[in-house]
Amino acid sequence: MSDHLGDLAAALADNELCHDQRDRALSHITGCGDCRAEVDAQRRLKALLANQADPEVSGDLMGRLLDVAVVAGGPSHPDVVRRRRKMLSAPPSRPRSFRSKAATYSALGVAFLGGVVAVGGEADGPKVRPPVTAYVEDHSATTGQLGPLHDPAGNVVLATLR
Amino acid sequence: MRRGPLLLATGGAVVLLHASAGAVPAQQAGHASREDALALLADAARAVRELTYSGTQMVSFWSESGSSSALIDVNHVRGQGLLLRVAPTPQNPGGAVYDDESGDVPQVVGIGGLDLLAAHYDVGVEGDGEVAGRAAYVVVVRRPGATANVSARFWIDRRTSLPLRREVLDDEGRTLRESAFIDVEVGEGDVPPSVRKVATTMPLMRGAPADVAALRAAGWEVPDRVGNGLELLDVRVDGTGDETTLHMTYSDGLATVSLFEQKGVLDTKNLDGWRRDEVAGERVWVQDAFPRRVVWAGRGSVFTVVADCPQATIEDLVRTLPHGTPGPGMTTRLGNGLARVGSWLNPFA
Repeated sequence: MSDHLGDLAAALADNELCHDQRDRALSHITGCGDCRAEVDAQRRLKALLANQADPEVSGDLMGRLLDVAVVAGGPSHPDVVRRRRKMLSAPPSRPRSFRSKAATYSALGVAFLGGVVAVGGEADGPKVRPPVTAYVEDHSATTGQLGPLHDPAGNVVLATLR
Repeated sequence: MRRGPLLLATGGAVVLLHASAGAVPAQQAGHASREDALALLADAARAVRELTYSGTQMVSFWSESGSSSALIDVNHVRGQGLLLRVAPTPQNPGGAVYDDESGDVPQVVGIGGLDLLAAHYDVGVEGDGEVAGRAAYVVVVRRPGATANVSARFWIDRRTSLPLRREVLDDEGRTLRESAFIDVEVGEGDVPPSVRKVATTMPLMRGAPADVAALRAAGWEVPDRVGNGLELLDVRVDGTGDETTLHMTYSDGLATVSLFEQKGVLDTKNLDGWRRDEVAGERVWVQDAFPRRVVWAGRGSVFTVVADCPQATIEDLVRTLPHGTPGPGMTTRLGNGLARVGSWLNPFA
């Protein structure tokens, strides 16, 4: 095991490692406070997300998200797992620098703020379902005052007597 | 509540005018002036109210989604009211409507009907006609311009000025609405009290006339004009708080549009009976029915249009009104978002 887990901390928190890799990672964090803290942080974040109720996603948004995935050709879940496993068997990585950690936390912070701003930008106000039947009657009342010239026969009778 | 402000409904345009006192100009077809044609229409509007008549009228509508027709027994008694009875058909269950004509009509709006028609259209007497065995003048309404198609035709009884037939067409010359007496008797008619009792009362407009300036100051969208020359004629407010609804009436003298506005977000998940569509490049929801119905959200409001007019008029109207909902500023969004995330994390929220 290398001096630090690096990106494997997330895989450990996500329970995506095989038995051997998991044992080695756990052995490492028993003696490495930095990696233990990072794995704990990952677990807390995962628990936080897991405990949230599923947000209501509109069909339109879901469609666009799926389109993004198709267009981008992003890696599937097994691809990610394979890449992480490959990293486990690769030569030991260098210890994470302060700059690397700062970048990671900065990215997380930016993502969090982005999510907060996105949530806060949703349209506000009462949900409106127009009472169209009443509207049609109001419209008929507007236009159906006079005799046949003004088409009360068409607009009033046909619209009102349903 | 009051009676509707417009005496010009779709295609009617002629409305409650106190113009020329009854004398129908004895012009020869094709030689009558614009003023003569307008006087004929004014006389026709007066005749509808002041004469006693009865007969059977055929009414038809056409649209992209289909057509609808009805035979209607018309019975008008001067000083009493108007009874309309519709025979049941597969498209319509039938029924009866009675209007005692006691409704209050804002004068400025009533007069505005013919003024609008004169402002937006060329009018002339073009040819003679005959409807239900009666000789008639044919008044033709066109958009300004030598090559414009006919927008409407009215057949006015030469002897009594009663309107006998009318057609309203779209810009391509296709008929949108048509109504005509199949038979008519002038000077006769009666509406027995027993019939009046069972008839439905003519619908009344809801809401109270509103102060346009105050509405605009409060953030409501109340344009003076929408679409291609539709002018604001009437604004009413109904309900209070979140239930407040504005009903704005627009017309160009021939087409009439009702624009309803409510504050809030369109509940697109519960729009049963509506289908998503694109009109004038904008995302809207429509109902395939007559009158036409279109709804969409824009700038914090939900707009619903109910209109008896060509599709092109609807497109012009939709194009000139707000669309989309711009989000709040960055600071507000951040505050809203933190509050929302906080509510997720608070188990007591």
